[in-house]
Amino acid sequence: MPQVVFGGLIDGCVYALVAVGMSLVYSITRVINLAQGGFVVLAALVTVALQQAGVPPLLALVVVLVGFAGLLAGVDRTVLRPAARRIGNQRMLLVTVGLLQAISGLLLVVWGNLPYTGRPFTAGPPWTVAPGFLGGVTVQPQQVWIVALLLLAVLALTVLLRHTDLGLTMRATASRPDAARLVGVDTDRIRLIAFGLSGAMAALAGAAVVPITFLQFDTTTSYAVSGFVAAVLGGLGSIGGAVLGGLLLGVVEGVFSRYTGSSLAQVAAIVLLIGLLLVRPAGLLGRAEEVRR
Amino acid sequence: MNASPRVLVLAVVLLALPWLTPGWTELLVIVEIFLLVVLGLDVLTGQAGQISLGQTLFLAIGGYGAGLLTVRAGWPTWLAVVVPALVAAAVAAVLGRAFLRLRGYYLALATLGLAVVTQAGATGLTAVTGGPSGLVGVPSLSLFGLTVFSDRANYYVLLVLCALAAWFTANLRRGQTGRALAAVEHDPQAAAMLGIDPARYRTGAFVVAAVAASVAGSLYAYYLRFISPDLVSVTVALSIVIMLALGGVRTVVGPLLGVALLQGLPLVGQSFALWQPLVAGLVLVLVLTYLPGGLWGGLRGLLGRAGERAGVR
Repeated sequence: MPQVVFGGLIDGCVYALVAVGMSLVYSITRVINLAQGGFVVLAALVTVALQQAGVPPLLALVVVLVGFAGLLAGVDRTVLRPAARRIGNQRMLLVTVGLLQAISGLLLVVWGNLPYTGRPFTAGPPWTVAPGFLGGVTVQPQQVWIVALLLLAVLALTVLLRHTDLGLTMRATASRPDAARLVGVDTDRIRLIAFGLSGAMAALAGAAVVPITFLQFDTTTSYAVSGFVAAVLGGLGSIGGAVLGGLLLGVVEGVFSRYTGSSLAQVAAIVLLIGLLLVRPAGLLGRAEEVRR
Repeated sequence: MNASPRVLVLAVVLLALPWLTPGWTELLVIVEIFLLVVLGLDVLTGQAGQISLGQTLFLAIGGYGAGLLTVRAGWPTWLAVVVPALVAAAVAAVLGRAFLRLRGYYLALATLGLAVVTQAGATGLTAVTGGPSGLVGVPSLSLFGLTVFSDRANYYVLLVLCALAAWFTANLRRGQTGRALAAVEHDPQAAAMLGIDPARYRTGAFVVAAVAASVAGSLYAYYLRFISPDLVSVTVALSIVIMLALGGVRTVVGPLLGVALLQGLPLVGQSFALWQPLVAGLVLVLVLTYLPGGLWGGLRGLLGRAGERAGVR
């Protein structure tokens, strides 16, 4: 049982990374970027390709991190911002669905339909924690990396948002975009930065998860859905909420899949989410006005 | 040309189509099945302004309902279309009441949840649905003692259903209910002030979309003579929405264009099947950004402008 919860928490950390990226972009642009799930798998497969080319795993992580920050900023500049100028938020959701589909298509063209896995960041045997308590928990080094990267990312984001001038500007843009523009904030630049950061989150999630799982072109949808669910569960626009939502989703899926199989665990997670939304429509840490647009 | 000869010509072309394009009838049947789903969704999305990413739930109720009732319980095939459609209507009425209070993203998420639940349920409930390999040995539809087995027979049955759906949605759009739905879409509060209950109209639209999807699902199962989770996956759920957005809402030709494009492209060539998801995704992004009325809306605008210019001259 502790092993099941732990496995769920690790999955949850990955969902949290995806959700944090979505939530960040949402707070600045009011658009849910479902394509985030696609970028996660794209980052993962690029990492694998770099590793196969002989790049050490940690260096590959840094390359993908920087590359995806640039890539998402570029995608915003060329695709999403021109679209957002012309159409409303509901149609923007469909635009990101199109983008998600296009990324899956790109993966299919470049990598085919085979599943890929990668090398862990650091080699080493797994170790067992607390063997006396219900069999204890076996921990892989890569799982420690995932937890550490999530903590680091959240810490860095918190410092950025709460303790720097740029962060203040970003928060101002998130809460009152028009007022921020009036006092001279270049909101397009803030958008670009938010997308860059969400690209970095996608890179972290993809590069960190690919050594402990198998990914192929059609796993994009499931990451998009999990990230979306986690972000809404926690309350859209809240970083802490996204992390909490991700972890909760991971644990619920992990525990249920122990007893019902993994596909019914997904059903349980969704039913729980919909139930929660009907009782508390703003999510765990969200504010009520978000729900009414 | 006034309306009735045009309808006559159209009817003759549609009736002759499977004979004019031998070898393509299979595609035509699949296009009709999805056209039925998308025409239903157009009532909800195009007329009532609500997004549903979860139409596969009703496709699955129809498909698995028809499959199980005929294979396990030995019901007559027509009854196994009607009963699941009623079940789908009831489910939509209950879910609609709960969900359609949610707005924007929260509604999108809840309906996306339905799509995930549908795929996971179809895969996971092995005892009922046959699991990942699906339900095999579904009989063909029989009507009035005739078995609808060949591609052409399926084409004609679905042609009648699609024509009914097109006639229904077009009339709905022009009638009082359609105007009420449009009012609910544009300003629910103003509509409520005029005595239009937004919740009731939205739920009604959701029920219409559900019944269309359920009937399409049943006929899908009868045509393929099996049903599996692949046919009701989240990807299919998204592609149904893509078909509508691509073609354009609030018309009959728009959905037809979207469905034909998305279903037809992979058949252009083996190598193109590989590129299809990439191209479809990019086309969707471009159409949504630059053609607010979808492909058909854009095309009509173009034809209209050309016509005006010719008229001036």
